[in-house]
Amino acid sequence: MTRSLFAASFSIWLGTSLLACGGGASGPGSGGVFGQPTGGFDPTSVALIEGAPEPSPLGFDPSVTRQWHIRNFGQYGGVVQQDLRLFETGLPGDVLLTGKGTLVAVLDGAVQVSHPDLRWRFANTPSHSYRTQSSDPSPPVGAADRAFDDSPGAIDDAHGTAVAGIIAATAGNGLGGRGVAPGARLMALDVLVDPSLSNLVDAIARSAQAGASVINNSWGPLDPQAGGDRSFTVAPAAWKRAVEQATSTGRNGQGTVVVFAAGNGGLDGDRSDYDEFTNDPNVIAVGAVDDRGIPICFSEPGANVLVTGFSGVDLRRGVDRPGIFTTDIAGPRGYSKLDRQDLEPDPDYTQLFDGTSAAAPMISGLVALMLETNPRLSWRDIRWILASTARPTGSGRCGGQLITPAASSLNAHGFHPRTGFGIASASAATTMARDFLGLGEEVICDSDRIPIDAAQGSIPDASTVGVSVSRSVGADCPIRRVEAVELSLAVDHPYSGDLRIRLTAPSQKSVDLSEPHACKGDPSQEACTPIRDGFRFGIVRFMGEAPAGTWVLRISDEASDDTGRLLWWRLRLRGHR
Amino acid sequence: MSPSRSGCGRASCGWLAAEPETAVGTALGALVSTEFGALVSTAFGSLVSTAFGSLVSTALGCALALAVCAVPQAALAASTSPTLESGGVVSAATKAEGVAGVVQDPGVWFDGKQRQRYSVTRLADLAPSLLLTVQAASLERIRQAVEALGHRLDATRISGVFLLQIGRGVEPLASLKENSAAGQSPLEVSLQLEGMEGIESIELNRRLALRYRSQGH
Repeated sequence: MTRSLFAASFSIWLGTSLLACGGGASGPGSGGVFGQPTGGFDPTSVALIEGAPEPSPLGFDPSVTRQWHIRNFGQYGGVVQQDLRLFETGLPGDVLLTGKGTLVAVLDGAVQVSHPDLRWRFANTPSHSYRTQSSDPSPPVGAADRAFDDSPGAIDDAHGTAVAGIIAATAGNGLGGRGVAPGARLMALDVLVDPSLSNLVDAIARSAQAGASVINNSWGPLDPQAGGDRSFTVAPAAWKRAVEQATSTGRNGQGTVVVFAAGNGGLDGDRSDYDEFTNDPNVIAVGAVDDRGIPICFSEPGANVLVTGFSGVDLRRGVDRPGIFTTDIAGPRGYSKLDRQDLEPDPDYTQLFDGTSAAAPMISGLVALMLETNPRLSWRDIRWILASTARPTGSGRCGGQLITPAASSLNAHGFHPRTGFGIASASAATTMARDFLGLGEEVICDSDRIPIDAAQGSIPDASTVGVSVSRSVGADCPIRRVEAVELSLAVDHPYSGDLRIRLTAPSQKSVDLSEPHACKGDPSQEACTPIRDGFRFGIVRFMGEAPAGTWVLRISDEASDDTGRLLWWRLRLRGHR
Repeated sequence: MSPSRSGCGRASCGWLAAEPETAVGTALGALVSTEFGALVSTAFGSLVSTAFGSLVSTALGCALALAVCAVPQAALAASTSPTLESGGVVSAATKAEGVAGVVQDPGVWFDGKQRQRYSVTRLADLAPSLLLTVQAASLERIRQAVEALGHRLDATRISGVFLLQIGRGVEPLASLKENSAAGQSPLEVSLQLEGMEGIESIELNRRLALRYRSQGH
């Protein structure tokens, strides 16, 4: 039956694509292929929807052909099937997966929960506003003719609305496009409008306690292009505890899945590794590829990056790849103030959403599909399946260097810090999820803190040799396959950006967690955040490895002028028997 | 503890006795006084003579001291002071007892990834509370100790994380703002819990510098 349902859906799409796009691909950035206007927000039509049964996901979504991340048939010059592979589940006798029965929390700025393409998803869910201390996290109403301002809590704060639409915009309602998991329910918490530590902790707790399956986080510390720097960023202990609690106790102990955008500072030398939010060992970090499956260079590399979703490059800059079509604040507010009218004439939507902000909610939606298929999966199961079923990215270069994945114990095509284990695939992930029996209880092998004396820990200046320390893992560690590695260390060094930090596994596979870099634009003026009090890296690169043997940490200072030393380190392996 | 860290450590600021180079007109909650010396002589004295003494005498074995003091301008000028940048002081007493991670955090996060001290205006923007990450087994003892000192420990929705409400709340901080040259006088909130086993971390309930991760918008 399902296959016929899929077929019906496909035929609708095909018809739409032929109607709107002339049935063919076109070059990147050519505005004429973005489909026809669907009309603005019409309160009358919303009133008609009120009280009506929820639309069938098999109904018509007029702009779905513009959502190349859902089905890429080359409509913007991309590569056919470089999409999320949503409609190849291959499940025998299955049903159309929509994420039904799951709840996805959007921790973001304001979200217009009354948007006509989102209201079904937010119906009767416990959203919360930290701006108004109410259950309505919508952006404030203001004069539409004000200058564009999308800062958190401003009238054009449309980021959360865009993120929510990618996850679960309603399908089949005759409006816009659809979400990756259009049957999932959404709750929104506008914590970015008042990002105090207590609010962040509270938002995670509210989500987990409400039964959220997934928490999407398309935010993080400032990236370099936004005025931040490339220093190591230590996450607050209370936040780490909150995430740990959510992943250990959420969903009745199966763990809430916490998804994070890897960061957008990749063109500026920033790494996801440098950020304790995205490299937290209990979150899933998501990078980005474009509509050709080629890694996007703003997407930050890191040993913590698990998989990639899709994103684009801003067409307003006159370059490259199409962005993501998704919901915008209804009416003449939000991103529509900036959108090119030839690209996106409907003010309720935007065609140009991008960044790893766009990629992460695709994975959140995909997780909802997996959990609909098999609600018994733990968050660790989800992470394992996502990585195991990811497919290779296209070939690309960043910073002049060809992105060539290194061998991995988990898959045939390898791992690269820019793209993790590859592009997430809904069809493969949901297929594997369906009958997955689970990884079983988590096992942890912990070295505890290993102090290093001054002589042993001294890091030679301006040398690639550095200082090396090692830890042997023997048969007393019952882990059969590693899922994640936590490496904590403290280095007393006046400019931590000088350091190359490399971890090598017993398999001789290695990964750089830090490369020599200027923490600010001008290293002579700005210091790096010190890491003498400790910094923790969360690493998925060694997923699938057997832990036995010698793990080697090497720290070298490849720049001149400053000297330092390793104070202590700690290796914590997490895996299953 | 290095004196250069804050001008507010045990040696330079005087947790119990030494006078700071400058004083702040108000301080937090129950410890509020008109100047730091008075704070030491009244609130701290009271704290020591009653609550603290009581704590010790009732075998809770805990001491909690809170102070807000201005960093001397000279120290401010010495912005390269390594201890000012480092944050995360583990008290000697804590080290001795092997309790990891009890820190005083002068504020890591205000401008993104750059560690900074708090300025008056920024401190005034904060919720006047601290977040304590606590081992559950020791929760009740810690709660008693904190409440004996006139503060309040509120459970958050996350097990093991608690909000320490300092004194009376926002008012003292507002006064603090008025009494200082706005944005010019950096402050530090220092907190030390000695011998209070089970506290894993202490963090000011600060506002974090976080941004969306979309590119073009």
